Amino acid sequence: MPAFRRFTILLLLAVLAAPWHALVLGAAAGRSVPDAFSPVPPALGLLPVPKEVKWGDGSFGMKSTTRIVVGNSATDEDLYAARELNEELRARYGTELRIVRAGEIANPSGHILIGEHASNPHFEQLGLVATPRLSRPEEYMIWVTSTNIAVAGADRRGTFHGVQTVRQLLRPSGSQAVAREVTIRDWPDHSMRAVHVLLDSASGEFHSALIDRILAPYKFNTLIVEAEHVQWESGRPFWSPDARGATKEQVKRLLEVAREHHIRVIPLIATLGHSEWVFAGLSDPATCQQIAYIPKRLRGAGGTQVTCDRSRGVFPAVYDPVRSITLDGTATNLNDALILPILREAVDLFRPDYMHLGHDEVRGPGGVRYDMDLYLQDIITLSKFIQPLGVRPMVWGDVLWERRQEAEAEPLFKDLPRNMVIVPWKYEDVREYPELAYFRRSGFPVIGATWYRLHNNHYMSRAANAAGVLGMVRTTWTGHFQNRAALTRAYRQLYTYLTAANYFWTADRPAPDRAPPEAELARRFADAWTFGASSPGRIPGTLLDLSGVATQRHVDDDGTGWLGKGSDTDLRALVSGRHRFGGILFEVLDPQRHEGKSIVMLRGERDVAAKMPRRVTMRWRGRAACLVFLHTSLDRALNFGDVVGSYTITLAGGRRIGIDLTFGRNISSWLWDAERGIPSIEQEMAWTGRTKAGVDVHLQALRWMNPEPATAIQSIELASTGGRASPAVFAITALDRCP
Amino acid sequence: MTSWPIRAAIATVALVLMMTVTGAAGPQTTLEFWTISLQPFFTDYVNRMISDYQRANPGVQIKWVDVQMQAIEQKLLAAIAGGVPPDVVNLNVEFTVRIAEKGALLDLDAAVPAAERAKYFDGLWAGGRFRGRSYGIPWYIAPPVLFFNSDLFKKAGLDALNPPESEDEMIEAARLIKDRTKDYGFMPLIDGTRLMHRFRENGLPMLSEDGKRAVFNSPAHVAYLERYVDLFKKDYFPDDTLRRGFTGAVERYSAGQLGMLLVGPQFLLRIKESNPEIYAKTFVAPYPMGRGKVIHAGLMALTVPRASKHQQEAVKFALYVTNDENQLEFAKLPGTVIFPSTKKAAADPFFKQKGAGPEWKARSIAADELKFGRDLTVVVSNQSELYKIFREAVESAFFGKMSPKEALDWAVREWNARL
Repeated sequence: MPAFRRFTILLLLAVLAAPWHALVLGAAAGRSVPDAFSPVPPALGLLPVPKEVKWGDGSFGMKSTTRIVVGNSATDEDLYAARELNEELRARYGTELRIVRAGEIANPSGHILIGEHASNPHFEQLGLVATPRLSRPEEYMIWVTSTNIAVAGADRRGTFHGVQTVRQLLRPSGSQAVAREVTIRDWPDHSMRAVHVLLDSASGEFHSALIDRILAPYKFNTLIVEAEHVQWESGRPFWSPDARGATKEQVKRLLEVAREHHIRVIPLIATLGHSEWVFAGLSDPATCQQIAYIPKRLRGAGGTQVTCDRSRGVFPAVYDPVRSITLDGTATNLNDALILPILREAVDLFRPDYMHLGHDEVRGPGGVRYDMDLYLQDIITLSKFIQPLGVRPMVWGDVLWERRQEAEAEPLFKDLPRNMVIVPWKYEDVREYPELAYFRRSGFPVIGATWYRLHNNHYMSRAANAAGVLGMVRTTWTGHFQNRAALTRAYRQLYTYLTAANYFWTADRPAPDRAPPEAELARRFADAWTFGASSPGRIPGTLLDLSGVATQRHVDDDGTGWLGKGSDTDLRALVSGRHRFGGILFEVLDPQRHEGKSIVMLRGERDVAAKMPRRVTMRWRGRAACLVFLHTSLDRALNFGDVVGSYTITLAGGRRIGIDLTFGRNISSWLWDAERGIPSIEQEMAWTGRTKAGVDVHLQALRWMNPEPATAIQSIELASTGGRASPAVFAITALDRCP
Repeated sequence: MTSWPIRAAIATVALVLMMTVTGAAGPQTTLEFWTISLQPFFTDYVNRMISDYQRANPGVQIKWVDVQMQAIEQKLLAAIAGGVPPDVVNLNVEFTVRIAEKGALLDLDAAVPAAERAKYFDGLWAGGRFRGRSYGIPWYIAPPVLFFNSDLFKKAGLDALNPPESEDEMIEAARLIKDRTKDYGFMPLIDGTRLMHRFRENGLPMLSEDGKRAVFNSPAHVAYLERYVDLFKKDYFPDDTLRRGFTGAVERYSAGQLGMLLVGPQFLLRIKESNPEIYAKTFVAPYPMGRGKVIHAGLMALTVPRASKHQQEAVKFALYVTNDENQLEFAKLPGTVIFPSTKKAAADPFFKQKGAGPEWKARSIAADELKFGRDLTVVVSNQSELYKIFREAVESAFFGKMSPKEALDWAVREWNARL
């Protein structure tokens, strides 16, 4: 056989043997539309749900002549609320109002009045009288009429909360901000509505923003801050804090921001339970062995009995606060040498009303019971130390609840201070919380602690209300530290603050089945967080036609579409045609009109995806300032942040710009993530639906900003890394400008 | 040019010479060995074992780190991600599968010679298998037994010499204890994913035979769950059962506030330490078996992270820790009731010996149970999310968010969309 012919045959064989579907090329047309983007008004529902609301038909529109009128004796705090309203107007509507005192205007009509009822004479002048009188702490009333907005608080906090509600009432109307007529009377069910956060050296800016954009606007009034890693001076040189902890200057700034927003700060020093920070800071590993709690039978054994490994962060489960230790040749114990001095320092720094002393999940090694007398005695010792400093103690309630029979049987139980606040925590979607009433009956003030789940927050807040507790706290668990990274690594814990905000204020409404779904909470949180993004109006653009490159359909009537699992497990809930998600118009193909294809599914590990091309290149010539991809992945990636594919845009002239598809950030599974919810603030959930089988499903949007909007795009390549979380593209929209 | 066999022989000799030289004067190799909650009860045993190994292997140092069960998975993943993995890590099957799925563990079918593998029980070697490959060298196993407080039995009018033999009898005894003493009779192991084991112990499968569909919402599954939900609603077991599982149960039993305790016999040591009075009142009986005549016996294994810089040495050390002698010595420690994973060690006459005290009773009972014991961990891809869904379903049923049928139907739908 001639060499050339042999070569040709080999080449043909090679082509046939290679995956024919490794690359698909296709041309994509596009349809121009005048409203490829159209702004979406903010969510309508008020959060927290106010107690009494009476809507009217008219509305109040802000004009350039509108003033914010505060009382003649308005303090900095009142003015702060007025400035917050102005910031909202500036950021969202590009306008700002003058702030004046009541005495500066003769006729209040056309203005926004804010302040405690008695402090502003214009309330009576307008006939805006609260009947019965506003008397509950933090209570407020809002009147929106065609001529005025008026916010009256029973106290300064009430006024502040009322202004936050007004911010939610504002809507765009053309370039103007308007508010629908309404009368609201509102007050909280719980006097303490707290969020628990953790401090670190990078948490300052994050927590300030959190207070300003989320916690205060949604009416939390207390922060419980884990402060054991603050750069304490106590205990040196035998102990020093983790260098990643917050500085005292940071704490002072946090206290200032919190004060401006009417938020009280309670420090939490995790003592006895979760005391890794104590062990980790010891300069001499031998001290670690000395202070570790060792079960009675083994105490006399001596020698090294437990791991104290700073490099791995592995330490004993719990310490013994009164075991005798020797430091610098002096006999002492851990409480005297370290814990009490730190508590003193914390009191000096925070000047708090309360101090949380931890004491949760206190167990010996391997789950051995910690001695109850030692446990109770430690609470009493620490309480006796801080009470003369004017600080009330607080402890977690799990040990005292789960081992209540043992605790009650100890004579020391009677000596627990009855002004000590007990914080029982339960994080499952439980309906009954008998521990709240138990601790109340035992004579303690109580705060109920929840986590991120909806039913947990609803039912515990209701039970707490019925038990007459002091308040509620929403805990946050992001390791030992917490900063901006939580927005991308623990976002679910943050956006569900809004659920807690609602139920801590109004315990019984809405019923859980009528509460905003998590996707809406996530959107709302992100909207509040990016506060400042102005609304640009309509933007023209092009809906790209994927029919030339589509490889699969999103519906599955015969077990060969979508994932090949049949009609119960497909995306038929997404009807073909045009849809607007997050303001962007998308066109989803109808498979019946395009040879059974509607989406670009790329290669992945699943059987159906294994037959798909690894990459697809669309030829599309056009200019775009932004491209928006409507897409999803077929499964969860193994890890958050895994790159599951890429989009590469080639511009005229040959410049290629790649976009990594990073799982959890700009692409996620089509199925609701049972562990992470909406995984990060960057993840834009575009569409939410449900399969026939009743499973919640989603598509995400990825927005790409063209660094050279004046240069035409030549092609868009869609590629998969071939793993289980392989991508599928449903639509692409090009925008002439970026919103 | 020499032929391939000659070249291979030369290379081998050179390698041996190099290794010999290295062993005599070369740098020390430090292997980091992680265990789960063995301190302080087994500190001396592990230290002794390490010393012996270091003496026999002068070039090797072992750094031992004992990690709490609840922290080990997270710490291991963090260490691997940080590029500083330990070398030998003790994991249970659930953790092994989850970390193997991330491609982070060494394939031990390939790394351990067949002759060594043959020393272990086949079923146990296969216990850490994911997608056809084994990632864990079996270490020890402890089939659960029934401990009961003979005082509470007496107060409830029960005969301590005739403990419950089946799950039905155990439930009836638990009712009587609660009704007559006000103390809880039991804390069933139905928290979170443990209900999967109970299903399987009762012959109720989790997956279809081809593993592609979840099937745990049959009327029999629903009825099984309903029964426990009903007991919970009537306060026959405490609410922290679902949150704290056997940890809470051991604590409550040790306080004398629980009639019966279903745990591995190794927990006897903790009861003894926590409360010698309750230990003295503790009787032992066989685990009340379900209808499937199989018992979930959790296996502890030793794994080697793929990123270990000393894979060969790590495998060698893991085989040493799990060899016949060391396992036998471990099993013989006073107060300890565990069983070896190697055939030879398990055949030792020690396990047939009779003695006085609950440990001997527990050992003898557990030895008889071994033939029914299997690690019933459900091995699936995307395990952490599927397990989370299952846990949510179980909690929803117990806490009244859904009926048991609704909860299992929901979880099956969610699993099937993901499988």
